[in-house]
Amino acid sequence: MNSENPFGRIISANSRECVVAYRTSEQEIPRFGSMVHIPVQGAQDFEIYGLVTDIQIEEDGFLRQLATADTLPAEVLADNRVNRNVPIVLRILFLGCRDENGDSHLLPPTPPLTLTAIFRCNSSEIAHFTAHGNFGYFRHILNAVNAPAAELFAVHIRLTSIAQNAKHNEGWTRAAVEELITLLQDDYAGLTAILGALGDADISF
Amino acid sequence: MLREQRLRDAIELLRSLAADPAFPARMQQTLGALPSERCAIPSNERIDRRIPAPILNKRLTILAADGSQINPDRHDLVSIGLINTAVIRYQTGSGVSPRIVTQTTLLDPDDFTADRGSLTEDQIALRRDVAERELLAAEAGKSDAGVPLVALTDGPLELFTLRQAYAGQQQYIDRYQSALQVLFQQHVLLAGYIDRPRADLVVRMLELAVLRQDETPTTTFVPVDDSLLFAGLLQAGERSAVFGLNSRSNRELDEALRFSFFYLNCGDSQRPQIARVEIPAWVAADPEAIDLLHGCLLAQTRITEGVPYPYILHRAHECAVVTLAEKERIQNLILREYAAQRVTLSGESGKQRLKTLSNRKS
Repeated sequence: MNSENPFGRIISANSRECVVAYRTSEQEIPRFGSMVHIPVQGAQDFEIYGLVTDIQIEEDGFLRQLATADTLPAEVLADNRVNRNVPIVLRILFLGCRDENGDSHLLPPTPPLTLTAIFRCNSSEIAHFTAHGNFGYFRHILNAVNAPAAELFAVHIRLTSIAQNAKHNEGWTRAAVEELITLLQDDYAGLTAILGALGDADISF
Repeated sequence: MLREQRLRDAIELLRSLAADPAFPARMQQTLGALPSERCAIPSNERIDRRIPAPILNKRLTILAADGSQINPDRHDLVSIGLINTAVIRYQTGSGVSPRIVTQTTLLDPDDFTADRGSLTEDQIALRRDVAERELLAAEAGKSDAGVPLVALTDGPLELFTLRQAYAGQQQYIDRYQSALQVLFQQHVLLAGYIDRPRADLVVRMLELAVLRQDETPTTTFVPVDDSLLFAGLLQAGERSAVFGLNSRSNRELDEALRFSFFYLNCGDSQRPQIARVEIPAWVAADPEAIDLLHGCLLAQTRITEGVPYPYILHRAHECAVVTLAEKERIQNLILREYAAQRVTLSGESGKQRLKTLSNRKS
């Protein structure tokens, strides 16, 4: 998977998130908390930015049967991982979008259509989108249903700080954490969980 | 009770005939008088022989072929016929992901329009069988010479459609035999795997073996069939003796291509699971080849633990199968092309339209 080649296609979407099927034959499974972008073409072209919030490896009855075997030949493992069309399903939370007017941390005007291709963000795209505005996209992560917000923030801030440091924007990490403290000043439990996860993420300021 | 008694009788007869050195010659004589009887023929192995699972210590390349078809339906908005075949190449002990080759043929609509008569399911099945063997033969030619090559198909090697001749059939039979010849030239260990067979070839041989002169053949052992007989004889992993096949279509083949078969117990000690394995003459004549095939099939059936069926044949099926959704997608592509060319269609038949309406959820 690289930033030029699509790694999967959308199988369902709404205004806040989408579900992407990703073939197991791809060399690298997209990481939890990594950023992706989805080009949407139509009457008005724009690009959606999102975060991988869940990775589910699908199964079928045949796989279940194989899994009961004591030992499996290496060829059978390779066959099921490479050849069989058993997808990995990713859930992508929308963080904002980019159109001709630039980046925005508002939700996209329309969800992407099914089978739209999805791409991984490179370091420069991550740095650009996350430096825009004042962390407005954090509210989408905080409001996400069925997503582990503390874990997501920890991974996202760790990955993004690498991209920001590469652009000599070393203050981004501290500003991001301060913004989270502000946003969660009335939610002690939520803040404690996120700060705990950030501690585990070994993030340096 | 009747079934158990007859099974005991059949096993007892099999054992007594196995001990009779004159039995094979006597059977040949019987079949000389009854050439149309479809049954087993004793080979040079004792007919009650049980051969244990061999140790498979060689690397093999295994090819498996399967096919599926869409039969034209005159009630459809656009009637299509299609054959899809797949071959999967599996190299044991390599750790390498198997390679898959598929071939899809859209049948010529002129072959099933009203003025040319319609293609029957059997006729399309014959074309599919030919396509499977041709793809198998083509893929066999791409294999390493030093590694034994096993080629498997699901179902019998014998073509049953031979029984009902129709115009144009011979060209497909010739192509089928040409593909077999290619596999023969390369000494490919070809086998047709019949899961849960319903045949009574060996049982019929037993019934004919005790026939007195001028007596009409009867079905003495019904409801015992070969599966039941060999489930009572073979331990887990064992194979039976190799038997020849007495049938009209087999006699019409070149001697080198004629089919024999053996039974294999792929089950465990609690639940026997009998499969029939059809092999051509060049495999039947090579004891080492039969051992390799025996070991290979057992290893394959044990991959899906508890469901004894060769893994590679199941995968070939998965690769070849054409789903209803795929059929509809092809039909939609054709409809779009007709629309672009302003071709007017008569629409679905009334019968199909009402069926579609009934299935439509409000």
